[in-house]
Formats: sequence, structure tokens, C-alpha cells
Amino acid sequence: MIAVATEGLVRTYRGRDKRQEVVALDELSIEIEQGEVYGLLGPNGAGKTTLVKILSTVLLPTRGTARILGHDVVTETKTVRRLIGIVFGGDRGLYPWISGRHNLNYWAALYNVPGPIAKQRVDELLERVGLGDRADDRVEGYSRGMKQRLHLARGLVSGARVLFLDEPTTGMDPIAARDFRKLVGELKGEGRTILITTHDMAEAEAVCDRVALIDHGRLLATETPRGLSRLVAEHERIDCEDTPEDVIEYVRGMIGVASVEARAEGGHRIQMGDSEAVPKVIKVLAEHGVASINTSRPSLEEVYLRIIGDRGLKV
Amino acid sequence: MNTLRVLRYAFETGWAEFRQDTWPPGWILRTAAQAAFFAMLGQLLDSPERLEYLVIGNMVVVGALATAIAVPQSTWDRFEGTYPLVVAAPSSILFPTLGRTSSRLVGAFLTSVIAFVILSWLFTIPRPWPEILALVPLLALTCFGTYCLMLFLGAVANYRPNVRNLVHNIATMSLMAFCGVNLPVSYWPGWIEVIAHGLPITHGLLAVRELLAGGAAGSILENAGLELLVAAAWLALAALVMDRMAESGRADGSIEFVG
Amino acid sequence: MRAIQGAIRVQFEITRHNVMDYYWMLLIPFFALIFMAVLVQSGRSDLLAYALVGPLLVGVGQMAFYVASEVLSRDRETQTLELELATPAPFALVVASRTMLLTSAGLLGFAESWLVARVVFNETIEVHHAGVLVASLVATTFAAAGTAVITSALFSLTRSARSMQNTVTYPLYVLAGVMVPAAFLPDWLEPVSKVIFLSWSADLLRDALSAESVNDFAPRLGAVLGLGAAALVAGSLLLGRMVDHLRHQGRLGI
Repeated sequence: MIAVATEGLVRTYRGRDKRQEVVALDELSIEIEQGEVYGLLGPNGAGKTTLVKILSTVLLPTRGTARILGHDVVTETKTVRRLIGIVFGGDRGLYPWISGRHNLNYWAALYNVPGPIAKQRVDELLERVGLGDRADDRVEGYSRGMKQRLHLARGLVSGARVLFLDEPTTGMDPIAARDFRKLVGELKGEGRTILITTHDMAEAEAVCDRVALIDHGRLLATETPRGLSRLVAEHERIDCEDTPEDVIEYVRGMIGVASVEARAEGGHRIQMGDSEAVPKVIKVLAEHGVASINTSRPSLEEVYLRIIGDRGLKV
Repeated sequence: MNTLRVLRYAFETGWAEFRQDTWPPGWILRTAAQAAFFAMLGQLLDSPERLEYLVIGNMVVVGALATAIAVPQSTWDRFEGTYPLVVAAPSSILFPTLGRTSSRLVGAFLTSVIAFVILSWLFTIPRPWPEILALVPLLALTCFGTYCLMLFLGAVANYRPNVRNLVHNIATMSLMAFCGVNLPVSYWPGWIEVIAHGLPITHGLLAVRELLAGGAAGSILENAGLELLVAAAWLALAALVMDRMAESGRADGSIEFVG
Repeated sequence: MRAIQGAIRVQFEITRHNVMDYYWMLLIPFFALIFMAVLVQSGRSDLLAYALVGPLLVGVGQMAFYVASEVLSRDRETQTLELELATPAPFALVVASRTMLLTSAGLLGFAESWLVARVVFNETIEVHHAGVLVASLVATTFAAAGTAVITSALFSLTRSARSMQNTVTYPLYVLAGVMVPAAFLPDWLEPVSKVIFLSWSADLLRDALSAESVNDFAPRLGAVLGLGAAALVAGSLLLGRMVDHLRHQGRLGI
């Protein structure tokens, strides 16, 4: 079953000078299967958060439709709100002068979770996100990482089957981010559907079943992370260093080698045209004393840069 | 049942903030000083009647106006990043706001009672016994009426949260100027009088003055009834605007995820 | 000198775009309206000068205690405090320049209150001693700025600045007799009012608007200036202590 579906979704705004119309989403159509972790990658201003806001009923679309588990976000708002949970990154979205437990109890009440179930669920979530010992301390004393974990617990307290995580690891250190990804994996294992917007390529590759690239409100590509890398290059490439010129020329002429280019950071990149030729090329390099040999597929970052384009620091 | 839970947790959140923000001795000192600041005009005028009028007006209003914090408080969810989460929750947006801000209503009522005790002693205002006991519900009513108006203004302030303090202070000063606190409502032009009768404090304060002057119970009850009616009207308007605000925010995209 | 100019210019730009920095001045006419209405209704239009001085000094006071006093805590929030401290500019002077600009905005209260008397009550409040008035206003602004240096240092250290601000203002206005002269307070409170610059300012300003001659102008003006200077010195010392404390704790930026 399709958990999240948008069709021809459009959202426009009046620009700062009020005369120009800014298109935040441009005929966006996506489908997310139940139990899938779906990543949305794109630069700032691409429309990721706009999409999440529409799906979480906090923003109305200008045109088009969006449905959560078959329910329209505009005409069945109340029903949709009972089905979703929202988590956004950073350390806001919590009441600082009350405890973590109190925060969760409050949100459980807003989501109409019955009292006894709320109590049990709050206890379990606090343990799960590692805040069991600090549950009754005021949030204003929590570290940023603790606040982010509490925020995640907040998003889960309603028992939502569909979760929207909007750049959830913003500002997290690598260890905290890794723990967070582990948690996302567990949630997936529970059959929850997760839409995650992120800048973090490693995160998208690690947790997402499929990744969509979005820019200027338009969907550019949707594929598995491996599938996306094939958009840049069908086969592996071999990076080698300190390779004699004559060996480079020899490899260039081998069957199954598409091209050999010098790399800006030193060494050469051998782009393969046939994956079966990889062992032969490696054998040639090794026989000629090349010690530094590395095979890889294009990373999501390369895919991103290739498809979205290199804009430098330009906003 | 669940609405009660929402109100309870929201109230506890607001109460924790109130305790964080408030240092009781300082609060009492400020309350007494604020009322005295205006009431002492009576001493300047060397008129005991004027002094009594000013003291009664200001000691009632200084508590009621403590509810004015509900205006900025109604916008705090925006700055804390919790507003989109409250909007996206299945329950009505009214109850979280009502619960959180009602903590200030309790604070305002306590302020009113304390202000009365201190100022009536300082300025030797008559306290007829046992009629004075009826003052307690009248003070509560005046605070409630002012609170309902502030809820409405808080809902309106959500359109432009940055001017929340301006809205709350203009409301406070307007009530002080036109609702019979420092001089009778009848002093002002007719159109201001009409507006004042639709505002809180006007009737509640009249009821208090009548009570302290040994006035007829019927008249006191009539004014109390009018104060309650005014309160109910502002509460209904507040609920309407809050709802409209959330819908308008969804339409114009002003509800931000603040991470 | 350049640092002072720069500080004043940046504070002007910050305040210009932030209505919440000068909204207090929009409330001053209400104070004037209330006081003047009570006086006029009581047949005491001769006391209208009191109802001009009171709101004026409330305006200066609110700008000092609510706006100027938040200069540093805002710098901490925007994380510019560390950057300011890393410059060679004398920090106390920079802060005092900014508070001076903000407290001087309170002087608008004079024009506002005067206009309320004229437009609403058809009364003209005459300035009988213009020199005394101008000197008193300048001295008051200076003293308010000096006081704001102290309070800005204090408020930047505490999370409960707002409750401190709320606690201090009205008691100060009553004790200083900004509306009703301090002479109406119990005798034992008079020494307290004498150490508050606002009480000297209020008396001087009322005298400036009175037809009677102004006695002891120089020493009284000296009292305002002296209290302001003392506040500035104390504020500078406190600023230094505050910065050291925050540096020690690693809390210069929030």
C-alpha cells in the first residue's frame, strides 16, 4: 500500500517585493510505500521543508493533491494528523521549563493517547532515546543532543505510522548522528514509513531505501542510492596513485576500460566500461608495483553535484 | 476527559514559566508601587475622596492587568518552535493556549487580593465586614474578564508576533485610561463610553466600588453579570480568532519549522 | 572617538528597524492623558506641568531600564559580544554611547506630553526657564545612560532580567517622585529618594515649567550629573567584572 502520495503538488508564495511569485514546489509527484524509508535530498530552498509542511498539514498546497494512507491532507486534515509524527532538527520545539517527561505527557494528551497507554509509552520512549535518567529534569538543562533525542521521542509519542523527519541530524556530532541512524533503522524494522529530508549524503546512503533529488521544487530523480550512482557511472572506477605513465597508457588500451583521467588531487581514475574487466586491470597495476589501488562506485555526493550542479556558495 | 489532560499539562507548563519569571517579593513590591504611582495623585490634589477613588480603581486593576502577559504568552509557541507542532496535532489549538495562559490568571487573582490587602491598609480604605468577602469573587471576575480580552488580543498578536509587547501594553494603558480606573467613564466622549462598556474592568470595578460604598446588592449583581457577559463575549471571539489564525497560517505559509 | 561614533551609528541602525525598541514611547501619551484628565477633572489645570514631567521621566526610565539595559544581553544572544570584546575599543565607552542614544529617545516624551495637553485638553504648558529645561534634560539623559550601564551589566548575567526590570521601575518612579513629588512620601523614605537621579531631575524640570524662579540650580544640576557620573564609573567597573566572570565561565556567547 502507498503510505504517502502526492500528485502534481504545487506551492507558490509571494516574493519579498510582493510582485513576484516564488514557486516552492513545482508539480511534484512522489509515492512512498508503506514501511519504506524515503530520503529527500536537495540544496537549501529546494522545497524539501515545504513538502514536509504540506504533508504534515501545517501548510496548504496551491494546487495538486497529497494523501497520507489514502487520506487527503486538505479535506481530511484531522484524520491525517492522527496518523503522522513530525521531527525537525535543532533544539527547538520543546518547552524548556518543564521536564522531558512532562513534555512527552503533554504531547501525548494533544494526540489523544489514552492515559495509561501514554504513561507506558512515555516511559518506553524515554528509555529508548537514552533519556531515562534525565526524564524528570527540566529541558532547559539538557544538552543539544539530548534535546534532539527528546524531540524524536516527541514525534513518536502518538504512535504514528508515518513519520516526517526534517533534517533531524542538524548540528549533531557524528556519534550522535550514527546512533540516530540506528534508531531510524529500528523504526523501519517496526514497519513505519519514514520521509527524511537531509543534506547528509552518508545519512541518505545509510538509511534510505530510495532517495529523491529535488531542486527548485522539482523532482530530478528517484532511485535507490545504488541506482542513483549508476546515473553518473554504470560501472566501478579504480583510483590508483604513483602509476608509471607507460602503465597508464597500457591500461588505457585494455578491453573493458572506458577512460583514464588524471585526478586533481593526484593519481589517476580509471573508469571501467565493463565490471568483469576490473580484476584484470587490478592485476596489471599490482604487477607493475602500484601499491595504492582503490575501487569505488560514484558516491551520492558526486551524483548530487552532477545532477544538481555545482553552485559554489551562491544561494 | 482528554481535554482536561491537555488543559492540565498546558497549565503546568505555564505555571512553571510563571514561577521561573516571577520573584514574589519583587512582584508584590512592583504591584503596590504601580497602584501607588497613580493613586498618589489623590494626595497631590489634597482630596480624600479623589484619593479613595484612585486607590480602589488602581488596586483592582493592577491585579487584573497582570493577565496582560497572556498576550505575548500566546505567541511564545511561535518563538519556541512548538507552534507548528500544536497546529499539526489533532486537538483544537484553543486548549493548549487556554491551559498555558490560565496560569497567569491564577497569578493575577492572587495579585489582586494581595494588592487590596496592602493598599487598603496603606491608604486606609474602608473594609466593611462581612461585605468585604464578596470582594473576592468580584476580583476573580474582573481578572477573568481581562484575561478573556487578553486571550483575544494574544490570538490577534499572532498575526504579527513581533509587536506582541506593543499590543499588550497599549491594551493595558487603554483599560487604565478609559474603564473607570482613575476617573469615571462618563468623563470621556460618548463614543469612548460606549466602547468602555464593552471592555472588561468597567462593570467589575463599578461593582467593587458599590460594594465598598455599601451599595445595593441588586446593582452590584447587575454589574457583576455584565462583567461576566463581556468576559464570555471576548472568550468566544478569542476561540474564533485562534482557529482562524491557524487556518490563515496554513494558507499563507507563515507557520515555520524552527529548528 | 571613532569607536563612539561607530557604536552610536550601529545602535541607531539596530533601533531604527526594531519597533519594539521604541514602543515605550508610544505609551507615554497614555500616561499623560490619564494624569492630565484626573487633574483637569479635579479643576487643577495649574498642576499640568506635573503631568508632563511624570510621563517624560517614565519615558526616559523605560528606555533606560527596558531597552538600554538589554544592549549587552542582546549582544550575547547574537554572539557579537565576544567580537566586540576582541576589539581594542574601550568597552565601557562603547556601551555607554549606545545607552546614551537609547535614553535620549526618551526625551520624545516631552513633546508627546506637551501635545496631549494642547490637543486633548486645549492647554498650553509654558516653559518659563528654557535654559534650565534643556540643561536638566541633557543631564537626565546622561544620568539615565550611566544607570543603564550598571543595569545592562547586571541583566546580561541573569536569566531573570525581565522580572528584575519589572520589579525596579515603578518603585523607583514612586520613590523618585517623578509624578507626585517625593515630599508626599513618608519622611523616612526621603533619604532614599535623594540618591535617585530621577528625583532631582523631576524637581528641576517642574521648576523649569513653573513661573517662579529656580533656586540652587547649579548644585541640583550637579546632583543629577554627579549621580550619573557615579553610575557610569560603577557601571564600568561592573562591566569589567561581568566580562571577566563570563570569560572565566566560558559563557560570553550563549
